[in-house]
Amino acid sequence: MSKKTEQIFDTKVVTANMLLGGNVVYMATGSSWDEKLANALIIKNDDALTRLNKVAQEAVTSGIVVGPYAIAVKIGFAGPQPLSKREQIRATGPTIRADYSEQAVPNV
Amino acid sequence: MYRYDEFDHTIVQERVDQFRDQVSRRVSGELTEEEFRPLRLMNGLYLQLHAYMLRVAIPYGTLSSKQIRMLAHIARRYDRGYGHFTTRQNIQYNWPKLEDVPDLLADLASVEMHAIQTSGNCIRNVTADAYAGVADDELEDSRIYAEIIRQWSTLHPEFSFLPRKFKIAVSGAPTDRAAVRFHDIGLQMRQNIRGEVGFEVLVGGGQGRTPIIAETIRDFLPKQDLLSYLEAILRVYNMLGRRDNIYKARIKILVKETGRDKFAALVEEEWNRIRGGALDLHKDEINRIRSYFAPPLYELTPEPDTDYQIARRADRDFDRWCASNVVSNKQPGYGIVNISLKPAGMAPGDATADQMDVLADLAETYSFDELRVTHKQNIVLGHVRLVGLHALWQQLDAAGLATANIGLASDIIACPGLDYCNLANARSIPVAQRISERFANPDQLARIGALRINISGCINACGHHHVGDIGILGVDRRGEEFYQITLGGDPTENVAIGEVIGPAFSYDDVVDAVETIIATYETIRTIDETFAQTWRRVGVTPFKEKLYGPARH
Amino acid sequence: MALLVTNKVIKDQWHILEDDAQIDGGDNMIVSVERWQRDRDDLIACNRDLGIVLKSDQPPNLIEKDIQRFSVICLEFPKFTDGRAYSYARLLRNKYGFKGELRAVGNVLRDQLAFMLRCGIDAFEIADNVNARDWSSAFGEITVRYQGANDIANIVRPNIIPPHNDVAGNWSY
Repeated sequence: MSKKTEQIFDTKVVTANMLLGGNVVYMATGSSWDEKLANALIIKNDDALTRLNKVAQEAVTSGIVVGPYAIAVKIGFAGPQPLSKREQIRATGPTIRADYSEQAVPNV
Repeated sequence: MYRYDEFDHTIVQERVDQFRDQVSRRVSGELTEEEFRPLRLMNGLYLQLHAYMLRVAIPYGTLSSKQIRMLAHIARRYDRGYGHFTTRQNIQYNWPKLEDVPDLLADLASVEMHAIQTSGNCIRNVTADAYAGVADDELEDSRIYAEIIRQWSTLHPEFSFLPRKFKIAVSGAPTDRAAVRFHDIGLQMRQNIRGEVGFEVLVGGGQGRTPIIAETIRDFLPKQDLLSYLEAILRVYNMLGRRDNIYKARIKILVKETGRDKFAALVEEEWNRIRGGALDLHKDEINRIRSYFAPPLYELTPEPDTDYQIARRADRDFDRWCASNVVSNKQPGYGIVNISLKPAGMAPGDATADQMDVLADLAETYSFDELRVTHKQNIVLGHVRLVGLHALWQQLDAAGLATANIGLASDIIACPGLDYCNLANARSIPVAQRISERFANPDQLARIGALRINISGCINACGHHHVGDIGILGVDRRGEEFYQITLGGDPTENVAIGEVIGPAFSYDDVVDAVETIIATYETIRTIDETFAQTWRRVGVTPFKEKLYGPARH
Repeated sequence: MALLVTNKVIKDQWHILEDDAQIDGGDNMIVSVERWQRDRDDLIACNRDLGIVLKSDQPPNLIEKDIQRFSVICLEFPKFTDGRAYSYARLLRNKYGFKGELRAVGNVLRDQLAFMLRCGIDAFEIADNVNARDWSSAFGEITVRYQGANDIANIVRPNIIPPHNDVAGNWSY
């Protein structure tokens, strides 16, 4: 092949847990952290990923979040949806009983 | 049961204050997450998939009514109204906030409870036979020795940074209800030829990614030498256990790589140096602890249990529950009542705060104020008069706690799995829910008979899949949940590790596969044969053929 | 690095003699096990106070015959999660009867100090910027003990034995 295949970048968002509450959050605009995946900043290329990872590390150093990492998402009508089962469950809560899910008990 | 004195109170209170300080140093930034992590883990605090998870120690599974009421309070005040009882006889809360944990621990300390050493590379909560003190086949109450070991191992300065976690189990009865062969150290009480009671010491058992059956390194250890011998084992392990690879760091790998005889010789050498010294366990001390576990004031001239017999004949559901959930207490006229936390369609081992309060009330009324958590994630009331059994059952039924399935197909052990756990590859609880719904018919359960179905969401095997008659292991296959099935495992004195039966099943298919296995067993069993007996007689082939079709030659 | 001994930060009187450095004949040299094994006779011939470092994979039996020649034995904690040296400390005190200074070096953190002290370690190499008073308070966070170690003799029931310390100096609880 003469033409180089263009590298396909999986769309991503950055996630972490809050230090104090432990709750799942996603990096949103203005270096803020949001519980709603729908509000997450969508990362579409390596530069943005590097930049957001740096912001996330600063949030670790200043004691806001713990263990940030990027997850692959696809973009649907309802916004970003995680590709992996693990991240789907992390985003919506345990699948075992409706009343155990994040949405059912938003702020206990 | 054991009652804390001033000394015990002080250590728990000081530990709360110490942890409060550690949390505030973490929040202030003085401690990094890397430095804080082992500190919070040594106090049972994990960061899981959705939130922090706190594991609270229930030493050898024994609780008072007052304590379980506090567990209910914690569930309401700091969590989402429920808790999860584990296979190591502890309870886990899935939603506490880091900032609340010091207050939560202070509340626990008010009833002599704590989270000390429920995680981390230290000696974990010591487990014992859930029927200790009431079983009719035991030599001695194993909780006496579990309590002695609890005290010795608590904040042990030398053994708080071991190569890996360390689990000890004690059984006082020849029927092994504590899975001593699958612990880092298993202590099996034995009588020597002179009639003295001591311990057979087993070392290096465990499940996880490398399931190994513990090997005996000493046939008979006198009681007075218990602590010096444990210290010798732990010291050898602490110095020689592997620290280069987390998957090879458990003592089972050291015993395997060193060889049992050589390992035993190293332990004996160190033990001979220290035995008879300061760690000698004096009779007075054993008796002091024993006095806490003295039998309650049983009614010595039991009323004839005719009412109970009449109720069993009159009420089919009650009769069925008695048959599966009640076993005889060594005290005539009393029974050991198992309360199932496995109703069809629910998460195994979960109890709501309201249910915990009901359990507290019932233990007070019917069982001398005492409950036990079993390693099968159920609750035991150890001392229930048969005459009061029908009334107890009615109250349990009203609280959704009268499921008659102890030891049966729907009495499933399951780890939290991918619904909660950071390490999991696949969900466990929903698989358990679906199996228990499939096998919800009491007549069918009774017909199938004794069956252990154990489900783990990853290779770490917290759901004990290696020792299930039917073991189910969740694996990740390109982002999808698959389930590998093993057959023939056994955690008891008939010890066996399950055999992988073939390729894994999808999330949708795994329940059908379990049903096929059970149907196959029902076809080929002889009358009264349990699944385990059929398995030992026929082996893997008939099951394999039913699941995957006849083998090609 | 600072040295925390008996609740105080003191100046370290010892220096490390690197493996490739010439034996300088100066006082208070701390050598590695490798150096000791190589130059044992020369080091003894200097007739000076000697110290040695045991790395976490170097148990005390490597220097079994020479233990009493050292005034200081440094136990290295490469990571604070590597707990081998706790056992080395207890063996040095109890099995080999070492009476000199047992010094924790490496990744020594405040929350491990009390455990180390209880195993017979009595000097702690710590970062220069730590607050000695705050770190010293770590020793008193847990005042009761369920098991004997090297701070108190063992136990039937420890609350009947007042806490004292016969190894590590005058720590007050």
